[in-house]
Amino acid sequence: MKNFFELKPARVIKVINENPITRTLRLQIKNQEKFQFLAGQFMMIGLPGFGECPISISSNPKEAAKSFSLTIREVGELTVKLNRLKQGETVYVRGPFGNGFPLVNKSLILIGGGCGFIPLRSVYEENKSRKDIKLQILFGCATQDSLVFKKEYSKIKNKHDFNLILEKETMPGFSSQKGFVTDLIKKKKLLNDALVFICGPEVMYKYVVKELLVKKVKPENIYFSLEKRMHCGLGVCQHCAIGTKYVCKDGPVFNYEFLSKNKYL
Amino acid sequence: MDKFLAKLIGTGLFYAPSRQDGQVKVLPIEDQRQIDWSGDMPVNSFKNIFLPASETLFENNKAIFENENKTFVWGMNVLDLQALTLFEQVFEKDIYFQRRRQNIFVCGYTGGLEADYRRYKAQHLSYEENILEHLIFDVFIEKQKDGNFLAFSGSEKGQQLLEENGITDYENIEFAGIIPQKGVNPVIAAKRLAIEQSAEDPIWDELAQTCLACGKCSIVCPTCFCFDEKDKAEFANVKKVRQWGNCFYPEFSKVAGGHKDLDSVKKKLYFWYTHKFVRIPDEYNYYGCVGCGRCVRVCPVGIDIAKNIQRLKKEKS
Repeated sequence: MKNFFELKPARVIKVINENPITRTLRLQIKNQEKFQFLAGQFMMIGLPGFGECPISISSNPKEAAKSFSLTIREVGELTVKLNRLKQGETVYVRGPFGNGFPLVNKSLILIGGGCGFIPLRSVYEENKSRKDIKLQILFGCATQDSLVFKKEYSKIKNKHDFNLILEKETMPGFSSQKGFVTDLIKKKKLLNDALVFICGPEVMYKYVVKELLVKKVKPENIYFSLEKRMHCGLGVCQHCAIGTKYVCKDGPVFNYEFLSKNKYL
Repeated sequence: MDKFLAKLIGTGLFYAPSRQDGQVKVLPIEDQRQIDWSGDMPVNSFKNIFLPASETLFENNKAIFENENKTFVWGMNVLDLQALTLFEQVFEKDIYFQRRRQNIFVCGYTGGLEADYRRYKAQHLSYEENILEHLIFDVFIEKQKDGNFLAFSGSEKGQQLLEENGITDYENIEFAGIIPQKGVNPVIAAKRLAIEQSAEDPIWDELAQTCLACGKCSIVCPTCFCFDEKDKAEFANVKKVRQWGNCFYPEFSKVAGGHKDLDSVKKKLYFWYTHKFVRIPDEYNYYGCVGCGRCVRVCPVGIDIAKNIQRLKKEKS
């Protein structure tokens, strides 16, 4: 019988500094060539003595056989410790867990807030070269210092409709005004009949939904990725339950209709 | 029966209901005279034997399987066997539960099944004639009015145990699935609907005014199985432990940064009831509450789960 709680060692093959408190760890496990994941799925990552936590995968699912990346913001004891890891060191993982984002079969709008852009990057990377669909990205953050994947923005902007807004400052070449991601939604002409994938702090969700519905986006096209406390990842320990479902097993990606029916949004 | 019990007690750990300080409790015992035969509902449940309040899963990343000693669990009543039947579903793929369970002999007991349902005021559950066919156990003993015992086996392990001990006059009960009906159990479905549609009901505000969120209900509940995983470091030795969780405790839903989904007693209460009456039925098509009444007896402010369910069902209809 398989031991679901078993953590596997993963080697840090690269560390990328995203901002003063966020790093991307590129990881490789034994038999990496057999590893697969879906955009929007997450891993449990831990260090002996510091416990485990769920972290979204930020890399391209098509490159899973080579490596995968976890982008980690320091918010607690474990994440601070994780972000001190250096190339060549070992960390422990299990997963992937969760459902991931649904199949992208039409144009796609990615809406991110702060480090919410982390799982969306996986979706972006997977779909960035497709000719059959259009991509639109709306991204809000507090300051330049809290941005993730900053070095990639110019490249994204050259190919796709990339829009950035900061709450507390402007950013030459990207954002001449201050504001929230909702201001971008109000201002922009959104792609027609597109899927909308959203990830960010949960306080942002109800405001984003409100603006999307004003713009006549169909509720069934709206998906959110949620963050919850988790211990098992198997839908047993109950920490991540919302209404009738588990964020670890049935989520972390939920359709807006489910969340509104469960009075979650 | 005395000889049988003496032999079991001599061969492994032995748990049974026993009277201590005027209360019937599930305790490890060393002498069959300590067994309580009254059939009274023990104040605690048997779950600690199957899912310890704290167990080590790993030591320095190596899986540890604690306590694989032969263990006898004596005197589980029919409601507690229902709770175990649920655990068998929930932890079906859990290697720690399954390995421990292999060495546990579950011995159920009754002084009369139908009478049990009345005395336990099994609330929302009613007596079903073929109940034994739908329960997971190894051996079941029924004490008849004349003082004689009837023995039943519910597994090969149980058959073997009886025969090894010279008990050949027993009936083998063929397991017929966890519920008698095919499809959705209507009793479960009615309660499920009442709870699911009660999110806006004033009952949760009313209960939140008295509930202390002490979590005692969850500790004594035989079906509550939430758990936490924690690392414990002692010098260079790191253990990963699993401990009972409790959705009434403040840390339960706390995420890094401090946000909590369950930030009010009202939300905690609704979460607890939703787990029992909605999520468990959805996942396992089984009872999330077996109606043992332990939570009612232990609640310091007298919250009665059966009355609350009745009220919500009535409001619904």
